[in-house]
Amino acid sequence: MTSPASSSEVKYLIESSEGNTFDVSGAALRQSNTFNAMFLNIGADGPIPFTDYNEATLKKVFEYCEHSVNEENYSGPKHQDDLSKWDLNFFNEMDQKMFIDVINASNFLDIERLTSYCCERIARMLRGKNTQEMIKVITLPTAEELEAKQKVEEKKAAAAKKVAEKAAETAEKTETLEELPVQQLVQTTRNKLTRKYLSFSNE
Amino acid sequence: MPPLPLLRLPGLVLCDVFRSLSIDEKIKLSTCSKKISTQINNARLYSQRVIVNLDMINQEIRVHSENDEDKFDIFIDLDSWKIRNSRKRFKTYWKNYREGFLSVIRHLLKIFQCKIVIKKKKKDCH
Repeated sequence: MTSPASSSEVKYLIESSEGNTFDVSGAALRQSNTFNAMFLNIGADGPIPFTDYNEATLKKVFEYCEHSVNEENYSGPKHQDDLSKWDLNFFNEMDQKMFIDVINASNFLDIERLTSYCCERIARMLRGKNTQEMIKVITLPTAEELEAKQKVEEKKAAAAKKVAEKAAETAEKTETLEELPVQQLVQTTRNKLTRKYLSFSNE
Repeated sequence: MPPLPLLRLPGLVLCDVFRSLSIDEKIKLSTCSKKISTQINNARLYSQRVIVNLDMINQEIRVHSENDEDKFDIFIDLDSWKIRNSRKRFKTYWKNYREGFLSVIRHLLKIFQCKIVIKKKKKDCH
């Protein structure tokens, strides 16, 4: 078990989706509310599995946590204008995919400060834009794209319907083929039985 | 920067994003897609409260926050199809005023589920 005072000296092993492990200080991990609730008070023997996220993303998230260890306690969301140079560099270094991965990871780990900065950054992307510009930013399909998609889906549905109809027709044909000999068999056995019965009654 | 898949973000993150947007940004965003307007509606409990003020004389709908710091005007106009945007105004065009008012109010209620106030004539106040 680790006490809060000694948690900064303690290092924890984190396991990523690739199966790689790396060290993170207890003080950095304490910024994650998920981690606080799950492991910090009871301690962790082996590596802590955060296997939904890759190593690069986790390292980026914990890099932020390590940096903000010495900063004053978090008191609500700040405006992007209040961000320090280091923070701005941290966000500017990331590409879009990494940025989304970092948002997802920080949301899962419940790191309030990082999540709120990321949200503020997204809000800033939308600020001061008109509807058309917003659609471009947030990758919504246009009316033409939607129409094309609908047409493709209709074609697919029609093709699937045709295939199903053909399958039903062939099934009906096979059923009638199979039925014929059975009917013949029934008829012949019936004839035989009636003959036998007749002969028996005659005797 | 490449486009951002906003609707694939986690729900709480989306709530946080909407909370930091102003009323005009939310209204403009809600006109982008039905899914987004539903998400804005879902996040309304975490966002600021909104009041819709109907001004039938000037054919204007004012959407503002409770402290009146954040406000946005929507004008109902006739004879054109296009919607013109500006920073704090939004001009919409309809066949008649009644249809315009009803459609805009319906849309605003769907997003914000807010209180509606009808502006009275000055004579009526006295």
